[in-house]
Amino acid sequence: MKFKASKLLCAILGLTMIISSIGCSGGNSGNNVEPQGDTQTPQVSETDTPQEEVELTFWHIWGAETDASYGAVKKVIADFQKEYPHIKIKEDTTENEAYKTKIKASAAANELPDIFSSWGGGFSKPFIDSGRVLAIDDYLDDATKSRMVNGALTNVTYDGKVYGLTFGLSCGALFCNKELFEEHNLEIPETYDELVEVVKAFKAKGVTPMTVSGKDIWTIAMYFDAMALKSAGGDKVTSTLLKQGSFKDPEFLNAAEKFAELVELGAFPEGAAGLSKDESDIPFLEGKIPMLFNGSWTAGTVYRDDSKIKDKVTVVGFPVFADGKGGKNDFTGGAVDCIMVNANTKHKEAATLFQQYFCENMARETYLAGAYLPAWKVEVDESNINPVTVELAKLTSEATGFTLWWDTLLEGEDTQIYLNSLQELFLGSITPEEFIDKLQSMYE
Amino acid sequence: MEKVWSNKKAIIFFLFPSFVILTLIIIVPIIMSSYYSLLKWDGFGKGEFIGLKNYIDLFSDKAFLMSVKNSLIFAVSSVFIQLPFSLLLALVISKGVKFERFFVTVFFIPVIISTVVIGQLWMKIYHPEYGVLNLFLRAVGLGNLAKEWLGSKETALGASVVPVLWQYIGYHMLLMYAGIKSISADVFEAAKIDGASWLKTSRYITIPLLRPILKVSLTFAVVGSLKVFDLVYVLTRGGPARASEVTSTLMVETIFKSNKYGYGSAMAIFVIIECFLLYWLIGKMFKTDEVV
Repeated sequence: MKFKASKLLCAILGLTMIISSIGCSGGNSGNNVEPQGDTQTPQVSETDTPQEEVELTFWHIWGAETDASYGAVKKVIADFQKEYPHIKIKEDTTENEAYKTKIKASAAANELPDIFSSWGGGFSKPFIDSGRVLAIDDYLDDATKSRMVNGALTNVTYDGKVYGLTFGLSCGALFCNKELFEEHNLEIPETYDELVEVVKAFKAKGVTPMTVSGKDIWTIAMYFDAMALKSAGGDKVTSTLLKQGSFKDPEFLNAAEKFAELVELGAFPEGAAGLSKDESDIPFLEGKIPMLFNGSWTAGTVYRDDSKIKDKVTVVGFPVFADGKGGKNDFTGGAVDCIMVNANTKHKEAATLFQQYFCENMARETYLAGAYLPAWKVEVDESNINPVTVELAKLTSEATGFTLWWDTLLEGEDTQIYLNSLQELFLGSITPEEFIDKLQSMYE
Repeated sequence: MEKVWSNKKAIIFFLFPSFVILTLIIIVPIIMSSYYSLLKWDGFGKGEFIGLKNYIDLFSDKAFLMSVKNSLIFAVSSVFIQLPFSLLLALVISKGVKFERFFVTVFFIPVIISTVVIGQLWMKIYHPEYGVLNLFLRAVGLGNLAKEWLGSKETALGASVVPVLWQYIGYHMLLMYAGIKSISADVFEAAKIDGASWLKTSRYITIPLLRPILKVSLTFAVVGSLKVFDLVYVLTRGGPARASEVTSTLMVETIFKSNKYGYGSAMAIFVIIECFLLYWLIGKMFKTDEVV
């Protein structure tokens, strides 16, 4: 009896394994797409629609309630449905990383939806090259364009044609602790020479002037991207990164030398090469380090619960170089997240109408939500927005242009070449000249 | 029971599921990786067949050779520092010290804790400003020895080897401890009657009888060191400037950041071959020992 029971048990276990393995493979092969949109589509009064009914599918990435833009997307789509009841928006959302795979596969198979969210620059280039995306120049009038900030279309313009619309942007900025500057009777630097003086002054008083994480190398790149921009100017940086130029030009060496100079002066914390971003942020948030150059999202960090520098922070662009080509209002970063329309959609008018409505309103709503700086000129009640974000928005509204971060613009392998050699420059294990040689190796 | 063993159908029936799973999640991926390693492929679209070029490139790639060297340093320090230490602990504890179980548990704790937690812990120990290590050095007047442990090229590798060794000392100790406990008490009694000291008992009885366990420990230590990834990734991400780069961290960077799937797969295959080779060598070493 006992023997039989154990045999039975074995059989059951064996079967369970088989079934579970079948179950697994079934789950993997099926590319499950959850149509979440249906249930959430707001009610539309369909009785008084004089125009033809149109249904548009819209794929995007803001499906998770934890996303800072989630509420904004829901609100904008609901508003649109109220205003244009005859255009039905059918949403389909996917998590960010999975979405990238999905959209690439759909573009390859020519199965893109009417409208979809995407990213400007290198990401969408293959779609545009294969003619999958509608060029929207004919649908964009000058009045609409004039409501956008400068540089809003830079990353969605390919060969002189506009293929998408952006709504929000991020940029690099120098976050300064006003209190520390006042305490030491220093002015917030506007030129590189002033910056060097400020660094020396802080150093002399035993204060580490700026913070960075050498372990999360992109935070070093934040500084160097800005310095290269101030030295060479936006157009030159972009064309060089797109391999239509040379890193051997003196502007890049100038930026590298100045960066090495800052390191040499001890502008960054001791041991920064071993610190992660979170660790390196702490002394800034505790009010011990006066300056941090990083993305505009740092505004959120400044108002974090454990921050001791709330209301003490002001932002400026990276100090300009006396011998540089980049201006005061040239920024790193830019508007990358965008909305595109399928070139083969049956409803081009309706789709572009939605695209413009969505982007303009998204700009306002995501700004209110603190997720992005607006890429459109919006007018909102700013009293409830993070004051640093408001200051950043003012700063960028005067922007003369945006230059994409190197690690976004470059392709995978080149990004690694850039980041790894920048870390070596930061450590002082290579000279600025050797750094330039390493950058130039991207051209090989 | 005899009946079941002689029934071929039953054997196939019961072995089939695990065979399928093993094939699907181990053998097939290895074969696929071997194929990818012959391609120049960015992970999307079609790869271009380039034969053994990836492997040839590997051996002229400074970063890769450096990472292999670093992995071997991990293996060597694991064999010559970690294992003797574990053995000593196992011998001492199994001798019958007070609170035997307590010590076994304490030494085993680091094995249970998640690697990420251990990484965070050691990052705090190594922190250049408020880290325990530097604070201690400064307190005892050795402030000039205080370093940016994880941030400087000279110390980063050493600083990441120590936590890895520390974490698994308890693991090997437990293996050896269990091995010693399973040696028949008669043998020890006989030695005692003959008047052998603890040292002599350990040298001539315990360690030789522990040989199968030592082989297992050695294999785990060597193969584990060659595959080490998690702690290094948490502590230094292989930096600064590749000073603590090991093959696995370099491979992940190559595949997922540089989008060089083919080249990264070649590294993966290299690690597999390296592990098999050393496993075979260890087996051989212990076999010739047995003949003597």
